[in-house]
Amino acid sequence: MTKSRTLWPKVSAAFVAQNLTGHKILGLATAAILYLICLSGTATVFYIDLERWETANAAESPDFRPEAVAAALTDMRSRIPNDNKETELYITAPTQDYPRLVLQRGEADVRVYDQQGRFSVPGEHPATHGMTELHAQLHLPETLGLIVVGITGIAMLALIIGGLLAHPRILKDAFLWRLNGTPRVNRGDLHNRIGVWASPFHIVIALTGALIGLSQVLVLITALTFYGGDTLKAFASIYPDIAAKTAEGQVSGAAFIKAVTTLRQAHPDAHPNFISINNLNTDHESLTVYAEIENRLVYGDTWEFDGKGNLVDQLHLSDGAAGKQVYASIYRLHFGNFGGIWVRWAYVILGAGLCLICTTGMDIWLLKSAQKGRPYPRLHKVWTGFVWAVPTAMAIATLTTITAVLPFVPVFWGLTVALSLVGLLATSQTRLSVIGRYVFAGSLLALVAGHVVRFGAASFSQTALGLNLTLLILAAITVSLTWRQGRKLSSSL
Amino acid sequence: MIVAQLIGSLLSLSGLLAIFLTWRRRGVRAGLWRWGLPAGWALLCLGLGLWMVSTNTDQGLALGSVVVMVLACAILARQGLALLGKPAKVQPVRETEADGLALGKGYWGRATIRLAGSLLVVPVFGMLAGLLWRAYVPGDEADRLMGLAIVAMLAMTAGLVIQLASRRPYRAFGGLTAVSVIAAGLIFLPGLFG
Repeated sequence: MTKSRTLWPKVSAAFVAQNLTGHKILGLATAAILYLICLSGTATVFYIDLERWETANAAESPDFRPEAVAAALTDMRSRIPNDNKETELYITAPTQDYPRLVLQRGEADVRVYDQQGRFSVPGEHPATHGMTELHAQLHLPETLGLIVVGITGIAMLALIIGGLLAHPRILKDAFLWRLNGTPRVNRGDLHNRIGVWASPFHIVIALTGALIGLSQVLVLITALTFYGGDTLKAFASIYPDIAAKTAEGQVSGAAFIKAVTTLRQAHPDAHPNFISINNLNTDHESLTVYAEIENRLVYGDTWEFDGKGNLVDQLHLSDGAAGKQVYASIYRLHFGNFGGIWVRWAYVILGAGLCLICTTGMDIWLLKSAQKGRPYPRLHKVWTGFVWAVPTAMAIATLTTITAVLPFVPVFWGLTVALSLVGLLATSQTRLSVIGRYVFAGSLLALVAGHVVRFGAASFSQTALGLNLTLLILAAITVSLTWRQGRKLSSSL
Repeated sequence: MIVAQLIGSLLSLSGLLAIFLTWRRRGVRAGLWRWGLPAGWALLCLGLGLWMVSTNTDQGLALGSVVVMVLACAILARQGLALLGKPAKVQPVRETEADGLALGKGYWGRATIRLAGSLLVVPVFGMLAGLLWRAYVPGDEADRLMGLAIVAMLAMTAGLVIQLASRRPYRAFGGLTAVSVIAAGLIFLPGLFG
């Protein structure tokens, strides 16, 4: 028999204990906010499908016909008021992933058009917007929210690094999970195993999230230090100002068709998916065309055209300096929209693992404290209540938003706070956990029922049906696991 | 392309299974099992390599890593489901006692310095590290700007780990402050004195 040796460098017990202390302090300070961000992030991996589900009765076709956009543009222009203050008009071109033509001027005027360019339905999606804004800025004012979430990304990165440093048996215990051990050991093993095996995903998500959240601050400080406070100049190396400067009048339908045709001929591997008409309603309008590049991690590249549809310049995000390519890869790495639907499903699974790490981390501390004779029963109940209140509140807020009963934000926060505090009334934390899971499953069923009532037959269209079935399966799994766990608990008591 | 990705996924799965089976032997590594762990990790790397050459390197690495992580989570889930029906040891928790804090001597002092270090010194330390990179590392302007952003994030992370894990948070606070002052000098003094 050969005694096993570890490849990991030997570290002292004091070093491990110190890192565990740091991990604990940071984890406790950020557990709730991390859980909110991770859960909302996991739920919005399919945000494109959520948008389609939320407006299930909209016309869909994956064919991008510039002629249809030209017709839709004419309709949209007729709606621009005399006192228009919006400087851009955005066009989302239909693709296989998002087979819709959407034109948007500001937040309020969003319209979906069919493949002939005829108006279909209004394109607002307040529930999806509520979920994505929760993830990106916790419903705080935009800049403040982004900074808070960005700082949380740094905290998450520090938690991952601290956790790994506090784990000297990382290779030896690669699959150790003592599920039939005490609850603390069981949760500890689960926390460590997911934490180790999914750590590349966690590091990427935390780093890219922090970069996205803190980018405004980083550019501002760079500008103040090196460019006399000029933020446009500071960011110009990645995003130079390539806007057409000539006054060619307004972008006509013919100019739009010319621009897209030129791009398709010059770059057959580039698929236009987003177009912006800049300087809207002035005599010097221009076109910015964003296009996805096949088999690349970068989100695409950007081309600038003047008002007549003549090519002016390219940003070279896909083939320029490494810094540009890294910048353009951050978004798809964070959102998981590279490599098709199976990558998005993988992100959901790994994201759910991250949520489990948040909840088990707090559980470990609570159980350890109780073992040491310092129980926090009220805190434990509030935490358990919070863990199940957040997904339940997401489902109910989505339901009230799609049925136009109440807006997302007040419903979500009201329910989250109320349900978390209701947990204090429960006789035991274990029972509360079981009740919370059943309530969550019930909210999912209510959401599907509400969708069917709101959209009727459109609830059974391909995407809507897929999402509704996913919600039903999630409810069934939750009930089944809770039922099995409930039986296990009652047999062991 | 698809064949390489399929073989890459199979190699990753084989690697994970090799690590899993070696772990199940709980340290008894006679004969070929001695090579279980290195072989497992080597197979994982080989799988990733195949993914990287199967398409563009950046996308291949990302896709291959996702495959490894999901397969590992699947093995963990399999373990979890197999043990779910078995009774767990239940520990009594005194739920009737009131919540309370156990604070040792000097707790508030250490907590204050950790908080101040994390919220004030660490962000400044991180930003200055990024700016230092931008000021002195040569290269394309876009590379330096992106380098600034990544170095700033990583330095903030390192600072946070050091500040919170330190048994003597005053020392960590002082050390990070001193490094920040030196970095600030290197960034701003050349500008001030031409």
